[in-house]
Order: sequence, then structure tokens, then C-alpha cells
Amino acid sequence: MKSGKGGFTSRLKLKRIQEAISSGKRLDGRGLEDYRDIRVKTGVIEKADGSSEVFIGDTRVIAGIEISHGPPFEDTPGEGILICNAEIVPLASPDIEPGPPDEVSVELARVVDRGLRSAGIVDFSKMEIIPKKTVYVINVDLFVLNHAGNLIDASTLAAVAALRSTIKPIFEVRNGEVVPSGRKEPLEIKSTPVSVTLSKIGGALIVDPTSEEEDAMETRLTITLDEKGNVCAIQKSGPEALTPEEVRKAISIAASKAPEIRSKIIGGT
Amino acid sequence: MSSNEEWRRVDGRRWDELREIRIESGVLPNADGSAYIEMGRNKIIVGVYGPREMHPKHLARPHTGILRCRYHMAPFSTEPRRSPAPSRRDMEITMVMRYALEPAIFLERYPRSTIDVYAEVLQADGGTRCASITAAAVALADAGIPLKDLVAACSAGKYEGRIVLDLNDHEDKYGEADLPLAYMPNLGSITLLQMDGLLSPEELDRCINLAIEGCRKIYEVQREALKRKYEAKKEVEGN
Amino acid sequence: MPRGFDDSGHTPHRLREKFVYPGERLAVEEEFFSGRGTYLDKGVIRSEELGIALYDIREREVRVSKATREPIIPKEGFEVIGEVGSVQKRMANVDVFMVSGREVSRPYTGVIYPPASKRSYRGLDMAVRSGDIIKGRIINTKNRVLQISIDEEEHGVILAYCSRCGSPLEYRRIRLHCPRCGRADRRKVAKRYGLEALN
Repeated sequence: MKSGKGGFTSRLKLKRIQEAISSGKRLDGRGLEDYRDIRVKTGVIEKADGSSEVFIGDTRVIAGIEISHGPPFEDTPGEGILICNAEIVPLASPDIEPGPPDEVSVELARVVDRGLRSAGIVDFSKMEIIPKKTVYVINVDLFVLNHAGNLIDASTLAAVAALRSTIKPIFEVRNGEVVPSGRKEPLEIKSTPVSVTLSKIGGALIVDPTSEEEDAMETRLTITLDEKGNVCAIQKSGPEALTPEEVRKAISIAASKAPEIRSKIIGGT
Repeated sequence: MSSNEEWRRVDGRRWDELREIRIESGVLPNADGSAYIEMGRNKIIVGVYGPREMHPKHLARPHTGILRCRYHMAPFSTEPRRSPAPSRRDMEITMVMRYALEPAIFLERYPRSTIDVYAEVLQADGGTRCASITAAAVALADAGIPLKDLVAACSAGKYEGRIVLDLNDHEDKYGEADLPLAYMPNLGSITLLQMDGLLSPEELDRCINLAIEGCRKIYEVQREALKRKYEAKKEVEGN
Repeated sequence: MPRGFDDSGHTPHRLREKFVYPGERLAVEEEFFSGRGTYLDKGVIRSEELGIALYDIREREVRVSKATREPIIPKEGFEVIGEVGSVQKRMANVDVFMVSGREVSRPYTGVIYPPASKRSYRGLDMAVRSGDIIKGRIINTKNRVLQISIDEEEHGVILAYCSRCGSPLEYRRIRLHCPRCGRADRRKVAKRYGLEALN
């Protein structure tokens, strides 16, 4: 009826989701390891240095990239900076009220951030402008416009697609000051991480949960992998425990799904 | 000064020309009503929820519904990037947006309830409050909320000594005056009126008339957007 | 479901039908009555809906049938379905997620009070339990929450879960029975227990 719609899910509906999944089916007819349709567009915000819009089913996320400059972090003085910020804006779901970011959007930003950083999506050591003083700063802003579940995978995909589309303004030093040179070049991308989020529902593992399935889930595991098959970030979230076997199974499902998802950005524009 | 007929603005428009405008209704699956507007390089999406129970409940009013608005800009909507926290400007626009839309809604029919209107600016290019109000009116109609009229909004102002319609970001920043106005075209009522700059009473009058003309044109685009979604649907249902 | 114009029991004589927008002028007060989907402003009848205006000559009425969704506004007399929250002897809270057969995106808060005339149960805690799905009727909307009655035969618990093992209970004769652990439970059970189609 309105599968994947955000909002209140009655206990009755949760039971039906769990029962269906225990018997190997899902309410929207997907198999346990099927994603919804994934669509990726880039260049949607002309004013940004890079941007993308990702749809996974009804979930919709926009990513905007801005490249600026600033002082490096104290613990990594020779390296550039990448900061992820995520907002689940109130028009995205009937559940969300206006206000400062809650733990869900903070977790979202941090999990995406870790995946990008650990995969070495850019070469952080080549981002100095004035040694130890000024470095390039990459701001990744994620904006969830419709929340129909699996925000982490959609957001990672949006962030990576936007970074791959980014044209970097080149800064230079004139009279000791950092100024835009007026020249630009494509941002050099070193790897293409994608995340695969699994939910455990009714004892079974599924990929790409809808928001109703997220309401029904016992626990969740996100695994981010680079194109070489290395795992670059993991996040377990949700109240219930997992056995080591379940974790291994989740990683192998994630590894088998990742290339399919990556093809949406590598093959795309 | 060359004649107004020949003079062209920085973006090539005549003095009384709107930017290109495109509206689409029903763009967000979760929302009860929604609309997307592009006006020049402005890109704004509006979602409407309700009427629904007011949360927190103590804000509910026993004899009337409440319209709650939020105008907010995405961090990537401007150059340079802006902080994601709502600014004082966002808060003021949130308020005037509510006042601009409230006269169109029969709020007394929804005691204890709220209608929530959320506008998110994805790209800003001058005139975002007007474009947000224009899109919000379409989103309210899309949500099936009875309205006294649609509300269309548009600015007029003064740039390089001339009265112009629908200021873009550059004209807004470097012009002499900017007057955003919202208008209910069937009822002939002004629901938003602000002005920033310096105008003589005669210029002010011309600006108001020009902005109203602009709103009438925008109203046609609003109608087209709703017609595309609903008149076609009605025919399909009929057959 | 297509919304027809004709719910007045006779065939309207249509002057013309046209697609109208909110605010659009339809007629003046002297010519027509202001019907459903219209409003009167200084003697002018205007549409308050996006939809199709119909001029009914016989009734001298103009009305508009809306083309958009109909917002859900709970009113007295409407049937609702909800999930029971906390239960006390004199009061039970309900999250109403269906109003007149339509699912709401955010539940309305409802409350059930013990019925005055029913002898089958004294305290509400004997009639409903937390987690039950109930069907009832809105009897009062004046307060902050919807007041719901489950007095009618068709109303009451339509699905309950075992308080020991969590399985859905089955209705056998006068009791609810757990097929898994055998526990028997009492409720104010609706006539069509377990048979309601729920989305």
C-alpha cells in the first residue's frame, strides 16, 4: 500500500514484515538480497563544486561538495581535511520534526565519513597549500529529501558520486595569502567505496531495508568496501547481538552486492 | 538613458520579464503534498504534512488549526557554503512565509491540528522567499487542503536606476531596492510585503504594480503545474 | 476510487463542468447556492478546491468535486483502528493509525474510557491489553485526544497477542486462546476478531 513510507508502523505490520522475512519473502516482493532500483544523477547543484542526487527506491539524497581551505587538524598537520555533514530535513518523513541534528543524522554523517576516509577516496597527503598551515578542505553535505529507509547506502553512494563529479578550484599562495588561482581541475579520486547495509529481521539478513523494515529490524550492520574488496568501514547499530557466523555471512553478502552498486556510479555520468 | 524597450539586464532579460520558471507538483512520496520549483537558478523543494495532530500537544489550540512553516537553506545552496544551522534570516523568512500563506487556509476547520509546510532551498539565486511561497501554495493544493486562493509571490525592485521585475541574486545584492510581494490573484489581496532599499513613493507604487503583474504570470505557471498532475489523472479515472 | 459528483440521490442537470482552481470565481450568490467545495466571499461563490465544478440547475447549486487527495480529519462517528498503549482500570491509550479505512502517516492519540452500561467487563484492564489492535468509533473530538468507544458489537479487540509468549491469539467460543502456549485470555472482543483486513 505504501511500503517504504516513513512514519508510524504498527506492531501488527512489524509482525507481518518479520513473518514474511522468516519465510524468505518481503512485503514489497523483493528477495532478501535484492536492492530497490538505484538511480544516480550528478551535477544537480550547479553552484556547488560537485553534486549528485541518488534515489534508492523512494529514498532520495542530495550531496553537495565544496572545496575550500583552512588549517589542518592538529594530529594530522600535513594532510587535507574531509568533513561530512548530514541532515534529514523534516520534509523527508512524517516522523521528523525541525530541530538540531539528532543521533540518526550524526551517525549517518560519521559512517559515510569513515568509509570515504578509510578507503582513501582522495590522497590526503597531497592537499597541502602552505605546509603545516593551510590545506584543502572538502565539505561533503548530505541532504535527505525523502526517507524511505537505508539512508547510509544512499548517502555513501551520493557522497562518492558527488566527489567523482567534483571540479576542484585550485588555490595558490600570493604574498603569503591563500587565494583562488582561477584555475580548476577535476578532483583526483583514488578509490570508490560503496556501503552495503544489512538488517537482521526475523532471524534472517536482508539488504536495503525500507523504513518499515528498519522499524521491524532486530539489528543492522553496514559494511563499506572499496573496489579491491577491502572492508573500509563497519557499523553495527541496533539493539540485538549478532553471532560471528552472521557477521561473516553479512560480509560475504556485502562483498557480492558491492560491485553491482558501484556500477551505478562507475557506469553512470 | 536608453529607452526601457531596448535596455537589457545582466542576464539578458527586459525590465518586466520573469526568469524562466518551472514548477512540478507531487515530487515527494512521503509528504502529503509537495512541489518543486526552479526559478532562474533557484531550486526549492517544499513538502506539506497535515492537517495532522499537533506534536507537542501543548502547542495545539482548541478552536483552530495552526500553520507551521520552515524555510531552510541547504549548506550547498550558496557560494560559499553556509552553516547548516538556521540563521536569523531563515527564522524571519519562516515567519513571513507563514503570514503569506495563512490567509489562504481555512485554519478554523482544523482545531487541535497542525499543517506543516517545509521549504528547503537546494540552490539560491535571489528571490528564494518568493519562490518558496509560490511552491508552498502548489504543495498545499497538492495536499488537498482547501484554499481560499493560490498564493503567488514575486519581487520587484530598482537596479541601475530602473524599476525591474524578479530580481536575481546579482540585482538583489547590487541594486537600489528589492520588494518581495505575495498575492492572492483571485481575491486581489497582498499577503507578503517587504522592502529593502530606497524608493520614492512613485517608484514604490510602480514596484507594487509590477510585482502584482509578476504574481499573475506566476499564478498561470502554478495552475499549469497542478493541471498537469490532476486534470490528466481525472481523465484516466473517468475512463 | 473515482469520486463521483452525484451523492444527492438524483441526476444533476449539468450546465457545464470545468476544471477549477482554488479561489476561482464560480458564480454570484444571486444565481446559485454555494455547495460543497465552494465558499462565499463578498457575494461571490468561489472554489476552495482543485477539481471539477458542477452547476446543478435543478438545485440551483454549484459545487466542486476535488481531484486531489482528501485530507484525513477525524470526526465524531468515524470508525478507527488503533494499537493500545498503556492501560489502566479507568482509561486506555490508543495510537489510532486508521481513520475511516485510511492509514494516517502519523497516528492520532486516542483514549478509551470504560463504558457505563456494559456488565461484561468492569475495568478497562479486563477489556484491552497493551499491544492489542482495536476497532472503535470516535465519540468525542472536543478534547486534546480522540475519545473512542468500543461498545458496539463490531468493536473491541480485533487482534491480540499472548501475554505470555507473544503469539497472536485465536478466538474460541468465548475466550481468546494461545495456539502456542495454551494460555487463555479474556478481552472485549469484536465480532469479527481476526477477520479484519488490515492494510
